[in-house]
Amino acid sequence: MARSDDPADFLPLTEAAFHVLLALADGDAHGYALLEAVRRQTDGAVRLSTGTLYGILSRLLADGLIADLARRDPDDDRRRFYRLTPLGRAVARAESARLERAVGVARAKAMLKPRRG
Amino acid sequence: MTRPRPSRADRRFRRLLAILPFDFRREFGEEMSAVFQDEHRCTAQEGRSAVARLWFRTTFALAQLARREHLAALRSDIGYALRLVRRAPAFSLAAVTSLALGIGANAAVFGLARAALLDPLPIPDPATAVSVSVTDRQNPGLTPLSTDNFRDVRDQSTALTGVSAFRFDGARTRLNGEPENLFVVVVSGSYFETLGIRPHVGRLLGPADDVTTGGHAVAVLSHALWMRGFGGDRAALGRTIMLNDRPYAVVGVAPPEFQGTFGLARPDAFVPLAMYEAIRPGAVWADGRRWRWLNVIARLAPAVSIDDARLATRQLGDRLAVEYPEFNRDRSLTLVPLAHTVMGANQYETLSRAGWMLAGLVGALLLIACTNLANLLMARNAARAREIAVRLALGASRLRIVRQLVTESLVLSFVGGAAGLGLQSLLYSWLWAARPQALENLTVRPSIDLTVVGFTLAVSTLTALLFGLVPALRVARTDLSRTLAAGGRDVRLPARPGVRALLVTGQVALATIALVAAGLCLRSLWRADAIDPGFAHERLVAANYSVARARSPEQARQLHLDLIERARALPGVEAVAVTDRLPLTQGNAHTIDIPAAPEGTGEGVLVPFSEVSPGFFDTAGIRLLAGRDFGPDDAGAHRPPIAIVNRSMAERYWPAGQAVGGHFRARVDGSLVEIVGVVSDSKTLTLGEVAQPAMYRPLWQRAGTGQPFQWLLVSSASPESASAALRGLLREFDPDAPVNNPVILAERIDDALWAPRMLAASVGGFGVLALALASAGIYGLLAVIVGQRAHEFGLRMTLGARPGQVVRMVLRGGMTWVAAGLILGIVAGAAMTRWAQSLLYSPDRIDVAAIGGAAAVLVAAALLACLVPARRAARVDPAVAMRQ
Repeated sequence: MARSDDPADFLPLTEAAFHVLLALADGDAHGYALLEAVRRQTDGAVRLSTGTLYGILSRLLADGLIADLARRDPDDDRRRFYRLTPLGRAVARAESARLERAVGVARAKAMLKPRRG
Repeated sequence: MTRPRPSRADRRFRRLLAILPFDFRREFGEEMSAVFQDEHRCTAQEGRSAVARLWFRTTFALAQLARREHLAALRSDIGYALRLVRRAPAFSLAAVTSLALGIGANAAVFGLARAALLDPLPIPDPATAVSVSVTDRQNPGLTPLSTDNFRDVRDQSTALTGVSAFRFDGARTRLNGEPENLFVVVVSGSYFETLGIRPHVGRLLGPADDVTTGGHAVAVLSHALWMRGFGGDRAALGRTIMLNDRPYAVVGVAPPEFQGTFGLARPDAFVPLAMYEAIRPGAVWADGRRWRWLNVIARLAPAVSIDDARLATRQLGDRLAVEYPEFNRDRSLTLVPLAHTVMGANQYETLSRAGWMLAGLVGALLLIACTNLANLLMARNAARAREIAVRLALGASRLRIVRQLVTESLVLSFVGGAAGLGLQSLLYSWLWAARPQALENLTVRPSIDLTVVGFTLAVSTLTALLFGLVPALRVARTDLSRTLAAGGRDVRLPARPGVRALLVTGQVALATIALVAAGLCLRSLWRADAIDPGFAHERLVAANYSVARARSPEQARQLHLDLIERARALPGVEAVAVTDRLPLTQGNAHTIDIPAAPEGTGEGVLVPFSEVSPGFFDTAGIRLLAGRDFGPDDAGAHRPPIAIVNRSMAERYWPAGQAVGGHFRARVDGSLVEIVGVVSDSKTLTLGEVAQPAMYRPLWQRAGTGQPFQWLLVSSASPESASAALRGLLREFDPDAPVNNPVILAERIDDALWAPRMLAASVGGFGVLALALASAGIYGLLAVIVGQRAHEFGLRMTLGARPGQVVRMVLRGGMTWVAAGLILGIVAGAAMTRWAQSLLYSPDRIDVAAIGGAAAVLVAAALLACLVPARRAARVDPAVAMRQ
């Protein structure tokens, strides 16, 4: 299958995959750090399990949205580091914009409290 | 590098990971255990229930991941395989067609064999069910038992349990207001219990229903009759059904799948053996030891093998022969598996031989198809060596590549298998639609059942694994650097051409055998078509009818003679006669002693006989050669016993030509019978039989009044209008009489050729398929070799070889293997001819024409298959070939 490089082709992302991309936006991370980051950035609302996380990572890798780095954790050589690719960043942006548009519509229909300030 | 020591949780997690696909585990397994280890360590501080929750969540997520990843891998493999199929449509079509033909033919034959020979009885534990028969030292074949011998076997045998008897008979009834003839089976008390049949509704017959002669007017209906005559209503229980003018209380209904133990007739009802006198009044054969008329079935006693039981039964039979020499002299007993008697005890040998022959042929066909597939796969995988090497170099795992190749073969074979099943069902419906009227009531019906589907899938999967995996493993072992350096061009074929040449030789041998078989069957069919049945069948019409009002043989004779006179007066009718059996059907036989016969030939001879009315020979077109025909006064129990014999009988036992005026003694009643005439031979049982002794007795000399008779009629009008006129007359004469549709004898002859025609058509079809597949194999092999050696051919032509020489070279190479296969095939074909002789209308032990014809057809096809690639070799442009 030819790999697409148009960010729109990857939308919509699953919530879990979106959060993994967002977690990597802060910088390279290994598996466990990603689990923790996702939990933190969603206040515990999204709790990934090892199996779920690696299902997502393998797909993101195959789609070229993330890359694995040769660098390993000096404490445990099994830990691989992942990095967001430019395509991955573009996809995360596109998904954010898509969600923002949806939120805008929701707000116009008074589905949300108006933003203060 | 450091790494924490694996904990117990870690080990447990690793075991869980085993459910993921290998590739995924290799990629992420280590990392996942590291992550889980961290997670587990952190969660452990929150207490045990948190850890339990973690395990639950993790296991659940892993199971989901495993399902998705496995499906994705399979989908990608299948997608890959399908893309390859699309990319090489010719290859795929060839492979799928080969397999479909091989598998379809096998499934068809396997299904037929199962239905008719292997597993024809829907009863529990069929392996312990046996049939007991009488053997005769003088005469081959198995015959039924007399009443008293049956009782002795039942009471004295220790090797058998549940010894029961049954007998097929006919009875008239009225169903929904219409008179009808029913097929009734009279059964002894333990019949159903022995077979292990459970009632569908109500109860079946038991020992209590078979005690007092004439005292148990109860009947069990077949499921079909229950539906047809009573609308499947439970209220049928307690109602009555009239059988030959006597009411029987319906006590139960047999299950739908149970249709008796005889495959050629579907029983409508079962009544107790004790009621036989009521079904067939005046049947002298129902008692004593004289008449052999009961079919006997039994179960092997616990822990007794069939061989031991057969030995014990023979000893019992020998004892009965010593005890009652008058009736049992030269006879004994034997037993065969009940399943072997479903298509007729004496037909089993022939049928199983035909079954083996077909099985051998379709087996050969499948082998040819598989070799073709193997050749195709090998050639293609060789062509893809470079692609595979590149993928290996790019990091694809060998396991993954092997799996992909195997998936591809599986996809091909499953498609082939599915197409094969479609072919099989077409074949069945065609066979079924073409079956003759005589087989209309066949209870054995080949259908597509789960076993056949399973068998088909097993064959196709095995084929795929064997011929997909072996080449695949070979390719996966490809030497990377060499293949890549050679640019994928100079890679040798995975299997040396020697192996593939051997495959072609085998294919040719198998195809030759199939063609010889086809030739034999075709010639046999031509001969059968030309057989003179010995009676004038073209204008003969027959109807089954008997005068039931008669209460004595004398009255029956009078009524029938009256009716014959009235039938003669019908417009267009030229001749009318009555007989107890039609030509080419089973009938009665006498065991007789002929005192005047040449030394040692006239003792205890079993001769089939028909009972006929005056004028029978004229009507049937059988010529009177000496003596006289029966007259109206010959019939009747008080008249001196007389007979007319056929030419074979006269020549064998009265070689000096004095048959008329000679005598024989009928063992059955000890009467001395005088011969009053000799008639020409005609076929008695089958069209293929060699002329054999047979005789005729006057109707109504023996007792038994209700016997259904066959009315024979010759008319100048069309057979259809003659049969309608006869039907009308019988209706008018006896409004209660059921008259089955009259039979046109010419059609019966046609029916008798159904089996050989089907055999010839299927074997011929298989032969043509085998030839086509083998030719494709030869062509495929030579095409590959010519492609590989294009360089060499170019070089040769540059050095001055002429195209004709190149063509001859390639032909010589190809035809050498063909010749080897041909010789093998001819030897095997000749051996098969001798073995199959009993199946064929063939006088020769080795059919030279069939073998010669097969060889000629094969050589022609093989030459053609070789010529195409050979000419391509000769067209090689030396300049192009050298540059490559």
